[in-house]
Amino acid sequence: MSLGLPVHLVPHHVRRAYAKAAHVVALICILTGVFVVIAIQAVLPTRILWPALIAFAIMLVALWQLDRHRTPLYNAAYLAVGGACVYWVSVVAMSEFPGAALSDTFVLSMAKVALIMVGGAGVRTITAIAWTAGGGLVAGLATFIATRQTDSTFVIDGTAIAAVLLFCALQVGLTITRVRGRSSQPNLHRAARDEQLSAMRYRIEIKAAAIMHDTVLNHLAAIANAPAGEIQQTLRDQIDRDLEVLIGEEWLLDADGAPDQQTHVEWRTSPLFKAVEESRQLGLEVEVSGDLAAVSRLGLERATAVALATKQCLVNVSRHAGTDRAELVVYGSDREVSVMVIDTGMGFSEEETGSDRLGLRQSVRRRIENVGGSVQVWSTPGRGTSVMIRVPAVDRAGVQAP
Amino acid sequence: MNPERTFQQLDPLGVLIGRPMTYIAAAGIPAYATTMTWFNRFDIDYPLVAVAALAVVAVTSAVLVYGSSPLRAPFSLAMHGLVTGAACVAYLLSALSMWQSNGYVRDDWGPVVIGLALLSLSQYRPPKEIASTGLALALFVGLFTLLQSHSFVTVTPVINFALVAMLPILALSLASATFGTFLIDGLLRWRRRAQEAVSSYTTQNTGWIARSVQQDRVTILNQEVVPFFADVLHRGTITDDDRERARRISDAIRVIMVAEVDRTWLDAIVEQVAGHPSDDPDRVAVSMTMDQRTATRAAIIAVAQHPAFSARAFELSIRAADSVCTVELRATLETGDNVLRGQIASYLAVIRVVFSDVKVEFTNPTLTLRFSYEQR
Repeated sequence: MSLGLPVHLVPHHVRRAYAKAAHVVALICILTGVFVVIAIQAVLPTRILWPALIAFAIMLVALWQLDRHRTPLYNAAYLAVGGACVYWVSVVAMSEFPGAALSDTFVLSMAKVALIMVGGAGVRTITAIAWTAGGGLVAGLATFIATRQTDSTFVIDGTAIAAVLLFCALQVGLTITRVRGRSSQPNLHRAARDEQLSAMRYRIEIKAAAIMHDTVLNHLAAIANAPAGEIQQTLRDQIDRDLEVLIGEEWLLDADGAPDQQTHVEWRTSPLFKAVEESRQLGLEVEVSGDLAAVSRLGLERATAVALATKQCLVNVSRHAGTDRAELVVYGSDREVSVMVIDTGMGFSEEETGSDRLGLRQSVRRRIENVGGSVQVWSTPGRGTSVMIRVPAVDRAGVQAP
Repeated sequence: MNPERTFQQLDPLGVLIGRPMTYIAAAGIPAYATTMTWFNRFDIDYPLVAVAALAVVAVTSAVLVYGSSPLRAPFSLAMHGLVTGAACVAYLLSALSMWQSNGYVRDDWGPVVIGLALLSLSQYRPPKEIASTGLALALFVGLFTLLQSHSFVTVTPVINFALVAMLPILALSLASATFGTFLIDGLLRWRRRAQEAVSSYTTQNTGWIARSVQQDRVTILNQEVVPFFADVLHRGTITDDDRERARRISDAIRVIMVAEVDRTWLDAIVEQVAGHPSDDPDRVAVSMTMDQRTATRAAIIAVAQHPAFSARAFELSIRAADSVCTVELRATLETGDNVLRGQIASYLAVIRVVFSDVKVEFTNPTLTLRFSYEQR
């Protein structure tokens, strides 16, 4: 789906992403501060700079906690703890480098930017700007107090001010752009929903066409091909029963209404077994082999589709192949289940079966494609036909294999 | 392994709406570089090189604006290379312009420009790609800074100058990647929930859809089939007339059913807006993905809702050549406005992301939209 967030969720979503990004900047600044202090300490071992590392470590812990809990309380606590740390780092730097370490010294700027990147809580722009500016003020105040105590010079820190301005501008920009019209977004959501309904309707229509084919058209064909005279009792019963169902019952609801993935059927109770049994009753000798347990890896809908498609294949063998024998082989893998119907009858050419021929096209191919499977037909006139039906398996958690 | 998706691919419309941020960045980057060049003017040894650096910054911004246009979506890797490459060249020129006199690195604008360029790409390129570009460029800039150590004026270890130069690139590129990651994760999480809701909605509606489809079939059956079967069953015998009638009914039903199952989802929409079906002889509309269907459906409805839309002149055709299907949509919109900049623009942005080879033309009054997809 190429769908964006609904308008009402955007502010929360963007603010959260912004806060996470701000915390990453804070982290990089603190770590850079740590490396800079370590590098200076390494070349000037007589200076006592390591207490600044403790302050940076405390800031890291405070930042970690803030990142886990984006609440006003944690933001305030971060500013309080971070402010104290900035003060501490400033005192260390200004005491050890009197006259050289000003309030805008790089390492102090890093500590201050880490404080400015507090991220803030809530979804309102003004709140986020207030937290960012608050971070800048606390940081500035901390270094100002440190300069008073160490008799150093207080200098306006351009880096810190630039950071405040950049991130406040980002806040404003994000707000301006997200309040602009997203009027097409609901239409995309509606289109996605309509598409789902359309796909559902199409699946039901395919199923209806296949059922109509299996019942009404088969009976009409039986009548058209029957000898003149008394109607056979079995045909009479079948027409009676099917008409009763088609007119009187909700015959399309069953499989689509039920959750198909959960039901794993055993071979003897599987729809495929029933289809084979029904074909045997029609006088066809069906030899079944292969991994019969594999059919239990089909959900109810796919098992039903495979059974109905297989039955249609067997009916085709019985009607058109000129043989009373067929072989059915079941193959199974983790990802798919295949059923192959083989006969050594007359064979045919699929192109020559006519554009209106619905048996193979509807009851087999479309029906299987409709449940995510595929059908391959190999047929040579005079030598027989093999139909391979392949359907994705359902894994143990009931999810269709990709 | 599938390439990492960008926020632009997942929410093209959101990125289109957020594009002014790109304009702001594109304006802000040269403004910042120019301001800092002015402040550092006394450090500049080669003014022409400094001017060239600013010109390349302007190119960086121009490429950013060009590449992020919805007409060229999605933002390509090559475009990413151009933006960061130009920013890098600008950095090098800037550093060269102050080669003898760059006493402090922290007021150099070069690394910040690279960082801001990477920050601007957060919605357009995959987070991991932005982060790795940032790391690589930070390393490069750090090493290049070491080469300038002859001009540094403080006693601080040289490595610290490298860290100072690397910091803006590292911080802004990783912030950019983090921002993108959380936008994408949040969106995908919401989509999973939305998908569940849509599935539940669809399941809830299964009942009336099934009843409606069944009613259509029952209506067909009641016209001729039911009376015929009732008659045959009542008589208990089959005559030659019955056999002939069974064949005729069967043929008629087959024709209806074939027509119905051949009617695609796209036919249904085109019929809804134009009163005639789509021109799709091979029924290849069915091989579009759900994303592509949603985008196409939304775009067709958007075009049809345009006040100047003419239903009669609307045409939609799909042709398949090998495995590639090409869709061509033609609509007549008698309007003085440029429809490509109006409401339809947002749907075109979505189309650009889910289809390939998208071409859009509007020569008043004809809107032509052409796009392709791989047949599954």
